[in-house]
Amino acid sequence: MQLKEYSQNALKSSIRIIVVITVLLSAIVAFSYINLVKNEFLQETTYHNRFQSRLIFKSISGLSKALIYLKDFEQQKEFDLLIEAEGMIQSAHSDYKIFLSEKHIHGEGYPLSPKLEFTFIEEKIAEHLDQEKIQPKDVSIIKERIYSTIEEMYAQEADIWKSEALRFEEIARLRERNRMYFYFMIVFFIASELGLIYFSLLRVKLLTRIEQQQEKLLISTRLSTLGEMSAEMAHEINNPLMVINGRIKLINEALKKHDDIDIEKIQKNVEIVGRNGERLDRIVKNYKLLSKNGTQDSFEFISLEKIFNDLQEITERRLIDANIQLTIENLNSKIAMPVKYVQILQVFTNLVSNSMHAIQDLDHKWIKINIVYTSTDVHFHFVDSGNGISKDHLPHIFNAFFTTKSSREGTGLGLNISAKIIQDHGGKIYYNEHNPHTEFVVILPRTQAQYVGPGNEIS
Amino acid sequence: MLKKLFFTLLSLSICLSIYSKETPPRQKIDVTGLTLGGKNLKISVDELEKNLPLVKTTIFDPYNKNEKTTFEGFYFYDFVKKYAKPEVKTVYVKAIDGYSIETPIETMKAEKMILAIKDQQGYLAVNRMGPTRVIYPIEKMIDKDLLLKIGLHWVWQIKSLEFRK
Repeated sequence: MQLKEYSQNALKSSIRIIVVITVLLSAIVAFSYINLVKNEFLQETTYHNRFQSRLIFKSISGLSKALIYLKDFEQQKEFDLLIEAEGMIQSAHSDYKIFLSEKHIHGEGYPLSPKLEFTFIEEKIAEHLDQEKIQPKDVSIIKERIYSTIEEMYAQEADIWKSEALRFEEIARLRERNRMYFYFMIVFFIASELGLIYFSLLRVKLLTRIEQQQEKLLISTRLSTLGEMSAEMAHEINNPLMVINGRIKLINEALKKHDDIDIEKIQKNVEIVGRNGERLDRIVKNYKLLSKNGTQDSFEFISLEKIFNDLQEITERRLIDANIQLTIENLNSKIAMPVKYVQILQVFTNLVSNSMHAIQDLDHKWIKINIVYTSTDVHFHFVDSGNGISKDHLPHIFNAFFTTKSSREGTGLGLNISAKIIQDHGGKIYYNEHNPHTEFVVILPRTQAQYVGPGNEIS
Repeated sequence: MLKKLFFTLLSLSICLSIYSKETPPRQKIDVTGLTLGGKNLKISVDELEKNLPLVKTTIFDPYNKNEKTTFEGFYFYDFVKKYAKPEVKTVYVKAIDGYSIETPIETMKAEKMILAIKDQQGYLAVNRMGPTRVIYPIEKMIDKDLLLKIGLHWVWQIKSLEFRK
């Protein structure tokens, strides 16, 4: 698996894990919140239960005190004791009414039982008290009512206590669950943080390795290309050198004939030597150009004429040797493009070299470069006489390391690097599937392109 | 004929007295401690009405759903001046249900606390927080924070008042 794919997979995995952790954390938070709300509800209910229980006990206490006063009245016959008992009953009634309203507020409609209603009808007691004619049996009746009322209130209180006991259990379970959720949350939080850190570091590490590998690949490509070029250069240099050596020999032999020196012949040979010397000079310059690392170069305006002249010079020898015809159509020499010169030349040379390699065994061998101008771009159509690229290979042709050549012939980095260079120029490079021959199209923006007239210096 | 009318009127008056809200509650207030005469007293509401100047105040009763209520009663300080020795500094207030609180004289004076015996419905019976209850004459709605501070002294169903130094 390529480093980049590995990096992307690691990123996808980390994203997946983060999503899963986030979902789990959200679920835990949601459950915790629900439990918290339940807990609060239970605690509130507990508070109200306790308040209601307290009210019932207050009421019972009031009634019990009333009983004491009534018993004392039975013995002492003091009227004030009846009044005290009445006060106690009324106070108990008042507390019980608050208890009922509490229950009603919390949706537990609780009607006053007929027994209690009867006990609390103080008008009955008031009637007797006003007349000061209360009989012992009246006191007994009131006491009986109070006893049964107290019993009923105790039963109500017991109900409240029972529901309270059940709630205690539920509260305890909820607390335990909340604690568990809390611990889970902490663990997940720590795990997710560690996961994030780990994958972030891994990604940085992988990206660094990718960059380092790419640099190494660039260097190795350049070296292998240089290796190829040096063999070609040796071959190219050899021809003019042979000519120079041959002509120097002829000049030497001619000069030895002191009396019969043919000046014209000598001059002609000197010219030939000079031309081949210039040719050598150009060959060396061109190879120096191709071997240069143009990544640090800045953009400069270069005329199309210069670009394609240099391209032809670089590729001339090989084209001739391979018997391939290269034609350039619609070249407008007045147009200059803002380019990194060395890099563009390398891209175009690479495209021509690929074409040359692809068609070397064909009967009909030609390469055409057709230039099309639009208002915003310049399109360079590199077409050769080949039959096109197989559909199976098409998705991979711009991938690094992909090649149909043998490992000795190519590293598969040419189109990959070419694509990067063109992208750097704000342009595009693509393969045209609709052409029956092999066609690559390079589009470069002409946003800063300008016409160059005579007299304008072009750097 | 006259006898019949008399008994009818008598029974009517009895009925009226039973159901009349103008009847003061029978329950009396025990007054103990440093009383003026040195003896413990049992004072009824109508006795208080005879001996102390009546005051009126309208409040939003915080213990009755903030209902606007007009109370009649006496200044607590006037009560203390009437029945307690001059050296008394606090009054121990105890309710029928056992609730109790010590109220300083200075607080009574400053807050103009009132012992209420009536509202617009009539005398305060025990089941309506009588025979007397302590209120503060605050004309606006009492918020929760203020009630937390002063609520302790709002004793109702007062059973006894003990004068202390």
